[in-house]
Formats: sequence, structure tokens, C-alpha cells
Amino acid sequence: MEKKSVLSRFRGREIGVLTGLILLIIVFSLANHRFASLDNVLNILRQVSVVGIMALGMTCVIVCGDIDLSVGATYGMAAMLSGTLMLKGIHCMAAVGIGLLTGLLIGLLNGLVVTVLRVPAMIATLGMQYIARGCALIVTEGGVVNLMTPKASEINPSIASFLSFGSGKVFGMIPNMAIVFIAVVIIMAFVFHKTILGFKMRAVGGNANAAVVSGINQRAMRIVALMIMGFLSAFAGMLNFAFLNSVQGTMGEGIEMDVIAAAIIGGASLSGGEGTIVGTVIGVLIMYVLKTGLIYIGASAYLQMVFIGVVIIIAVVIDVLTKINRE
Amino acid sequence: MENIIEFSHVSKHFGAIKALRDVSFTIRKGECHAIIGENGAGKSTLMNILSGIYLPDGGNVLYKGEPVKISAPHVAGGLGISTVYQELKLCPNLTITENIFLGRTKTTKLGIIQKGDMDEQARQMIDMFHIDLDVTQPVGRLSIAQMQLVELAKAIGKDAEVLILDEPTSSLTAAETRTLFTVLERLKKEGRTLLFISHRLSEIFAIADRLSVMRDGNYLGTYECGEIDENKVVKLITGNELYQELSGEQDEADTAGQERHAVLEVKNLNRGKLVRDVSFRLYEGEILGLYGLQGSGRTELVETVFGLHPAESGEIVLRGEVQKKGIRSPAQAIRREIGLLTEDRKNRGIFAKMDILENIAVIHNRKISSRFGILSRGKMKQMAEEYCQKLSVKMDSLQQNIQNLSGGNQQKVIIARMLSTDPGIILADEPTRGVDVGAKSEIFAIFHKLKKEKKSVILISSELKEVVRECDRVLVMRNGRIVGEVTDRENREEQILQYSFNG
Repeated sequence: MEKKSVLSRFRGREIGVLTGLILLIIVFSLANHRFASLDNVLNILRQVSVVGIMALGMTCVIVCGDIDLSVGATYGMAAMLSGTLMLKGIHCMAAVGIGLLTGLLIGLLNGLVVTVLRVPAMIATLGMQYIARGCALIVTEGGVVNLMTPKASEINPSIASFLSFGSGKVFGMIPNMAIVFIAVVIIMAFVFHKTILGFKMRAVGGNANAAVVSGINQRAMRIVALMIMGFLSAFAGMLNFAFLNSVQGTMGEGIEMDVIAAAIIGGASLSGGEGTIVGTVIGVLIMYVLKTGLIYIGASAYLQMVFIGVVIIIAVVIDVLTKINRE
Repeated sequence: MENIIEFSHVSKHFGAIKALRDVSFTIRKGECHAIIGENGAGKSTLMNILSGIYLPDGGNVLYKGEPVKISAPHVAGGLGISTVYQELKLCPNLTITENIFLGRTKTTKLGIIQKGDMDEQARQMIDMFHIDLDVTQPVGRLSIAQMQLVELAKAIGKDAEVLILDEPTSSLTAAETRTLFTVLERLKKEGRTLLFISHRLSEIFAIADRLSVMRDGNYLGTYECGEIDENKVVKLITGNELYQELSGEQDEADTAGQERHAVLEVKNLNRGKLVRDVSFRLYEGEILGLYGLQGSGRTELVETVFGLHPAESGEIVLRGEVQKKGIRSPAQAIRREIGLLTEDRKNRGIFAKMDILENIAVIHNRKISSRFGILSRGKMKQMAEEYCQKLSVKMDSLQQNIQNLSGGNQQKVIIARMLSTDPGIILADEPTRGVDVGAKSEIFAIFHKLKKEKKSVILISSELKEVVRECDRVLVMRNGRIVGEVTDRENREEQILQYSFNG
């Protein structure tokens, strides 16, 4: 009985995308035996971490019935700000902390504009996207913040530990980024599925009016979701910055679309109330398996975009069809 | 006078509910014919058949002596039958002219809109009402009364021979009603036929030539307005046999003259236009009815008490304790042991994407979680099971999606959710709407059981009989005010109707 209930908590959609993911892996492995190598698997895990972490936040936002288009800009701006502070000699931990707080603050602002001023989330966060992107460019007047220079490490010795974390591997094999990603997945899965917070977010997105009548503070839930989103965007920005050693004001342009796509492939519904952490993880894995797989079989790098587009549409079409059938 | 419309043995049912049973009567050309009855008597269904919303299951509609099949609204329009709906069907972003000409916009051969022409014609129509309105302004800027007149102009503009007016005065002031009536008089003189639905008897006697009474889907008769008085009409609407049924069903329990104490006292409560200076008391262990027509403010009143819309002024006293800052949120109301069942189950009650278990658990914080807000599936299940059993919800399992339940069982789940917070005061807004007869009686049985447990219920229902039968006292609301209280069982229906129509 209990075993069954674990399985039955997976919805049809998740089983569908999971099947899709497994099929993709099988196809690519057959086409090129190196695809299934441990190296490549770990590499994919490292690659998904940035978009994956943000997609987890996006799942919360979409489940509440909102959307956040400012995540790419937040991601770039937070990294930019921390980098600039590091070059000013501020300890890397403090600089990272300030970057993360900025993300949290952007999320709070988004949340207030959406719930108190009642601007549709799409518009509010579109505006915030421009604002945050503009700020990121202003900070360095369009230049690059590079931590990989002798001068940088002279000004601030703590930079070295920041950079070594980004490119570091545990046991010389598993990238730190992949481990961080898995940890964030576990935390978010717990918060989303095992606490009252996640439950209430689903209620608000499923039927905001009924949630209010049930005594749920719908504004608070939506603000919290957008704050989680802002924090995770900044967090992903730090991670990518540490890996790349340098950051530009334009970092993360357009990444919000990847983030939203991952959540949607994984079963989040833009009308709210639907979506799971596991689904989103599968969604982001499908995107990156497709990206690297196509490279392994020697297809054009541009073809991956076409395929991802097709996957998004197929995933939703299957969902719509199964819903019609149920009715 | 010749007949323009004849209903011949018209019947219509929705599922098991017979909305119209063998209705036959005629409407004369050029008269104003009122159709009256309680909510649910079948008036609207009959009018919807005439305007092409529904087809009858049996019988015929004859128009100018010919049987017609009015299969769609545009068919009705083609025949010259036009409807002014109770709820406005205007596009707020379009101008008055554009609304009046919606669907038949005048264009040149090249498809260019002839704006000037249309504005001129619209102006003439609006002038008929003796009101001063710029026809080029968007409808969204108008008052409700002005919109109603635009709606009427739109209906007349279609060269309508028969105009159906469904409660056209429900949102008008007395002065606006007079304006409307002069317009209607003029339309009558032009030879148009008016079908007038209203709950207000005084208005019916002011404008109508004849009236037809309906009750429970049955047609009871047509009378010349000059030959019948208001009291007789009220008797016809309510039906006499009900009194006999009632007099045998006196509630002995609450007649014991013991000291009653109020669990809820509302003093001079104000909120917008629909809660005006409302004061009442709710006693322990009683079912208090709140009757009023749609838009009389009954829903707004209970929602204000529940904290959905904070009151602007006034005082709420709960179990002797003055709520100094009022009740400002549903969460607060729930903590103070108040429960609300909303009238709009679909939009404000159920969580369609969740299962039964979650639909019940959603109202709780502490009861379903351990410290730090970690959900306990076990606690959720235990609680949902307990209340579903208490209310005998018919379901396969708690994991079943709530949408797969019948309306009555969905409602029971919503009631289970509310009761699981153990409220002492229950605000039930149309708890039996869209629920079959069996579930209805079960729901009332639940309320009576709560009453025995010394809990207090405020019951809102549009069905007069329910209010009369189930409640210990009835308050009648009209235009946001409480206009009367009915305590004795004798002639209860008549008293309630008197208050709600004329109060």
C-alpha cells in the first residue's frame, strides 16, 4: 500500500517526461557509446545546475500562478555586483552574501509590485528585467569583471577560494556545481512537497479566491515564491561566476526562457496550481541531454534549439490530450 | 386584441429538475405582460426559451400564429424578439454607439465604418430617454443605471416587436425607474409588446396590463392587473398547501423560554452600498435565515462579518467580546471560530486540481503540520477521514480528485473543510445551490445537528421555502439594509415576501 502511494504520487505527466528522458538517453547512448560515460553524465549535471536551480524557483512562481521574466537579469546583476565588490577588496563571502541579498530584494520588489500594486507578474517582472539589466551594465559601465588576473588576487586574496570552489571537484571527479545542484533540489523538494508553504502555494495557484476564503494570505505566498526565485537566481549567478572566473553585464540574457521552458516541460502549468520539483528536474535534464546528445552525434549546434522547441510543444500537447481524455 | 405569442404545453427539464411543466398561455400584441414567481419558479427558463437560449423539451411556441423553433438568439432577433438581460451584456471598452450597433455595424461598400451616421442614430435613441449622454464615450464610464438604458436602447434598436425585460429595475433608483417606465409606456404606444419580469409587485401594478403567475415550473393563471390585488398575488406565488405542511412541523425545542445569549452581535455595520447600517444578533443554537433577492446585500453582509471585505464602520461583538479592530481577514475569522460556506462553489470553494484530502486540509495550519510547518500526511488523512465520514461523503478514496464528485458531494467536502475548523458560528451562503434534492435534505440535517450542538448558523437561501422551513427566525434584506425580522411561524412566507418586495 505504502509502496503504491509513492508511485501514485507521480502524476501521468511526470511519468511521461521521465519516459521521454530515458528514451533520449538510450538513443544517444546507442548513437555514441561515449555519451553514457561517467564523465559526460557528470558534465551534464554540472551544466544543468545553473538553469536547474533557477527552474526550481520558477516552479514555485508558476505554481502560484505568476511568472518571472527578470530572472536572467537578476542572475547577471547579482554576479556583477559581487564581482565588483570583490575587486574592491571585500571578502568573497561578504560579497556573495550581498549578491544573494540583492536577489532576495529584487524578488521582494517583484512580489510587492505584483500583489500590492496588482501589476500582472508578466509586466512587473518584464520591467524589473530591464531595471536589473540596466543596473548590471551601469556598475561596470558595460565592461567585464575579471577575477582571473594577478592584480585581482593581489587586491583580494579571498578571490582564490571563490574561484577554486567554482571549478572544484569532489574526489577529483564530481563537480562542486553538480553537488550544489543536487543539494538545492533536495531542499526545494522538501520545502515544496513536505511543508505547509508549498501546499499553500499550490492552493493559491489552483484557486486564489478559494484560498483566500480558506484563510490563506495569498499575497504573502506569492511574495515568498518570487523571493525564493530572486534568491535562487542570484545564487545561480554566483555559481556560474565562480565557474567562469569573469562576468559581463550581459550574462544570462535570454536564460529566463530556458528556465521557464524547463519548468513547463516538467509539468508546471502556466494557469497555476500544477507543477512539481521532480518534474522540473526531469524537464531541465531533458533539455541538457538533448543539447549535449546532439553535439555527441555531430548535429549542428543550432539544431538543438529546434529540438527543444519541439519538445516543449509535444510535452504540453500530450498533457492537454490526456486531460481531454480524462474528461 | 390579437395574440403575438402563444406558449402551448411547453415543458423543459434539466436533469431531474423539471423547470417547466406543461405551460400554456398567450401574450397579446401591444400589451405589457408581467411574469411573476419566486426564484426558481421557471420565469427565466421560459424567457430563455423565447430568446433562443434553450429549446423546449416538449410543446410549442407560436409566434404570430405560426409554430417557431427558436434555436439560437439570432433566430429570436430575426423574429423581432429582443431581450434586455438582468446582467448587463455590454463591452465596457466600446462607446455607447458602438455597443448599440454591435453586430450590425454600418459600413460603406468598402467596409469603412460610418461613424457619423451611427452616432447620430444612437443620439436619437438616447434622447428618447430624456437623458443627457455623450454617445461617443465608453460604456465603462457610465453608471449601472445608464448602462441599463443603453442596453435597452440596444434592444429596441434591433426593431424589436417583442421586448423581454428581465428585472430591468433591479439596480435603478426610484427616479431612474420612473424614466424607464415612461420610455416603456411610449414603446407600448408604438405597438410593441413588453414582457416584464420583476420581483417588485408595486412596479408590476404600475406598468403591466396583465400578469401571469408561475410556481415550481407550473403556470397558475393570467390575471388582468385591474382585477387582482397584491395580497392575492402573494398568496398565488407562495401557494397555500405549503402552510398546512408547515403548521404541523413546529419546532418544540426552541420554544422553551430559556435565557438565550447572543454569540454574534453586529451593530451598525457599514460596507459599501450593500451593507448599510446593519444590526442584528445571532443566538446560540439557532438557525437564522437571511432572505433577500439577488443583490440585496446578504452575501456582502456575511462576507464582511467573515473579514473578506473589512467593514467601514460599525461593531462586531463575538461571544460578548467587542472586536475592536473588526475582523480584517478570513484567517482571523477562522481563528475566532467562524466558518463560511461561499455561494460560489466553483470559483471560491473547490480547488479543482486537488484531491479530497487536500481540499479539506487546505484550511489548516497547526492541525496538519508539526513544528516548523512540516506537513504530516497522517494528520491530514485522519482529519479528512473523520469529517468525510461524519458527513457521509460518497467517494472512492480521499485521493480522488474533487471534480469527479457530484455537486452535492463536492458541497459536502466544502462543508467538511469548514466544520473541521470546529466553528461555533457558521455562515452558510446558498449551501444548497446546484445540489440535488437528496443532498439538500442531508445538508439541512447537518445544520440541525449543529444547532443541537449549540452552534449557530446563518442560512442564506434564495429559495423561500427553505428559509421558511429550516430557520428559527428570518431577517429580510433589501438594498443593503435589514428591512424586517420574521419570528412567528404563521404566514411566514407572506410576511417575508411583503418585506422583501415592499420593505
